[in-house]
Amino acid sequence: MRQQRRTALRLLLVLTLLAASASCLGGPSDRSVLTVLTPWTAGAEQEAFQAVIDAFEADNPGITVHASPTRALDQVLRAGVQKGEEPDLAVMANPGALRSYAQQQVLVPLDGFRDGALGRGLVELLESDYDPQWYRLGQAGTEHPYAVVVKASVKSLIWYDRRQLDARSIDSWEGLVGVGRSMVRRGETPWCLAVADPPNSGWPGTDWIEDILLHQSGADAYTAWVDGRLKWTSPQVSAAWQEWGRSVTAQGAVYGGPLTALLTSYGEGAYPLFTAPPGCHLGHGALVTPDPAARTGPLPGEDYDFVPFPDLGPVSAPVSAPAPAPAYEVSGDLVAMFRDSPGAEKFMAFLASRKAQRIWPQHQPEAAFSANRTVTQALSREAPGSIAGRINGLLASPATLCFDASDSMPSTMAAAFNHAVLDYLNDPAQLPAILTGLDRAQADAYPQPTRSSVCPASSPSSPSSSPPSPSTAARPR
Amino acid sequence: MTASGAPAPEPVADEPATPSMTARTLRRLRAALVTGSLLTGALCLLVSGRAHSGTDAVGGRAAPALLRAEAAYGALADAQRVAVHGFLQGTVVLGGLGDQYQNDIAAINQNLAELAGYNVAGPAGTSDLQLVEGLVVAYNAEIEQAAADYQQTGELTRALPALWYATLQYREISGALDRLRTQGRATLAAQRGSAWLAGTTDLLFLVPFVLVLVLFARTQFVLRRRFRRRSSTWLTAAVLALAAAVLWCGQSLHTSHGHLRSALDGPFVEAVTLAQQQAGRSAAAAGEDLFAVVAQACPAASRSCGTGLTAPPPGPAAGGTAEGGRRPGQAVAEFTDGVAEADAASSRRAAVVTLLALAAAAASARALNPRIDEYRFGGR
Repeated sequence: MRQQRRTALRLLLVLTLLAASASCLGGPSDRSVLTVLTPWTAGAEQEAFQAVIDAFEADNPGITVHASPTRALDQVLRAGVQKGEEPDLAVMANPGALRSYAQQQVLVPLDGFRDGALGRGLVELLESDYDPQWYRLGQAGTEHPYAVVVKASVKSLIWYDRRQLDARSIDSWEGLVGVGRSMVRRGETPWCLAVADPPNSGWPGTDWIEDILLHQSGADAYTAWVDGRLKWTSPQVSAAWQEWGRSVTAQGAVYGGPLTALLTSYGEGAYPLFTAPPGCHLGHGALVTPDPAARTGPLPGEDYDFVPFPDLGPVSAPVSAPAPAPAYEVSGDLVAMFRDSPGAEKFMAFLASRKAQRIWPQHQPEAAFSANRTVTQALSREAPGSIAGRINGLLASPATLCFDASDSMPSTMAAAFNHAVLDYLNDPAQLPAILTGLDRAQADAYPQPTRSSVCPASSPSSPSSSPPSPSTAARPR
Repeated sequence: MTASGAPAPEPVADEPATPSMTARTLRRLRAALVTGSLLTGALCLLVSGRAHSGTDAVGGRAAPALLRAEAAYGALADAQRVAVHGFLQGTVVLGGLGDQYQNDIAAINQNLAELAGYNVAGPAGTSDLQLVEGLVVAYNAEIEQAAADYQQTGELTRALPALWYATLQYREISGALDRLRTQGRATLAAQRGSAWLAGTTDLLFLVPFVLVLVLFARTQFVLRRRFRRRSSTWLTAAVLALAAAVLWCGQSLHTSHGHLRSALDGPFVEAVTLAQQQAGRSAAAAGEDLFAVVAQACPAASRSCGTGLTAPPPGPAAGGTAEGGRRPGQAVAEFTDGVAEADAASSRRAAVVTLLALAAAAASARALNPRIDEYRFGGR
């Protein structure tokens, strides 16, 4: 009997313990989880960034990096910062946004890491392996470096249908314009163009205009314009718009006409370049992608190729101006840290490393490049004749690299620029009104004078490198 | 009956225990009965609490979150329908986008805010929710831009780019909301499958209850054999109180689960279905009108000016209520009532079970205290 009672009491005790433990399941994990807000929601870019993450996690088994992709990155990030729920890290394509967050002091500077040795090593790597303009880009106009360029793109490229065109015929602006006109006369369409990419529709057109301005008026004018010191109605900027208009707004100049260019998604813009027969023969920008549904993919170097964006004659006749050094418009995706942690610091340091910088170009060899000079030089040597190798060669050359202008402008100015491109494609006759409107937006968008670092200081690339005259300079109101 | 003033009984012949042994036995029985009664009540409360949490998680968060996601999707589809129709008919030029469109946008934002408040989305869902919130702002801006373009020029062609960009964002928002809805359904299914809502956890308090009943029987046996008490009122009261607690607990849990199940299988499913049907009709109507707008703006161009739009198949009429005149709101109200009834049963349960279990423990102690007192001056 006594034994039975003991058994019963023990059973009661066990049940009590079971009941107590049922409410206490789970516990903290030692594993560190980082969240990175990214704009890459699908496709090759998402896969490439995941490969970078995988490589980091393999080296750091105690850290998990969770990529949180969103198309509305700006809005999500802004809302997160306002609510105090910012991610550990975020990718920004817009140095203007980086500057804004740096000024709000919500970013962790790379030289302010808790792990001082890691931070010093990272800054030294950025200074030694990266060109100064990439480093200054990460400084966002401040004294401290805040960002690492995780991927770079070259925008000053003209892609062409190699089956129909010869590179020599389009390696100058006059040649390019002439080829376009003769195609139109033959009833063919020279240019592929697509600008739909909400919420930033119009940006492919801004890249065109920026490229023309850079190659027509030089890096100094380009920088002055980005900084709000050169008006939109100035001869330089106005000429760039008109030059672009001569290429794309003429009857039959773009595939499907301006309305089709306005309505076609940017990613699908080059599809007609690869059809048989081709719907268009030329494209501008960082990359062209064939329709993934096509039965056979085009062969790079055989079916299509690129030439660097050619220089244009200066707006005003030069007085024995020296031959300009090459200049290319580039863009980059910047990773900045919002929440300091040992894992986040390690991830930032890894992103800048040569190992990490090689991963993305290997996944997207013609579309994604490294800002790390050592990596770029190595990649250009490894495949010197390929499209990727030649673009790497452009990056590794002593050419002037100027960062995407609209990405570097204040966000309101960039939005107005994007929208102006749409308006211009809709009705080119409205150009004077459009430029006047942009001048007004410029006056509002630059309350204080800024000095960006879109191009290297005292750039040698200035076909008409006279500084903007007082009459053309913007006067902040 | 108890007899507190009676002399200590002689040990019976067949159980030659000493008085100290009997006192120890009685004390142990008292401790076991009190502990067992309290433990049974505590386990009732534990199961009840967990079931209540499960009811709250399912009926108070997961299911309403899914309804909010469905409602946001429906409001978005309706906003797109109303906007595109306004462009097609040209009413935007003079009348603007209209109250219905503004109401739809407000409803989207309200539903998204409530959805975020339920906090059931998880990291991926939170990311999608933030994406939707951001894109809705951009969508509305594009629609308003299209309206402004139309009003300024009076040309549909000039309004089409912004309207198309809004449509691209509408598709992206729909995709993100689809993911949220899919995730919401998965969360709901997982939480409905919780063991705390399945009824099997009743064993957690039924097993100790049976053990305590055995102890009661043993106690009665001891009292009868050693004190010649045929029955004890307090002991009987304790048994009845504990049985009532357990029965109330089980019955109440069963009722609560029944209310929740009925609410989920009936009005909830109906509300979701009605919302989906209404959203489907709105989306189909918006698609038809958009195709007409694009065809009107670029009739001769191939491939619909790069939009890739094709003529939509004929669909049911847009707007209005579903067959039978039921609206999602009515089904939602019924669902909410059902969950409230399940919740009310849970709230009553805790108070009743606590009182009955305490009463059982007190009665158990009261039943044995006089017998133990008889050994107050004896050895332990």
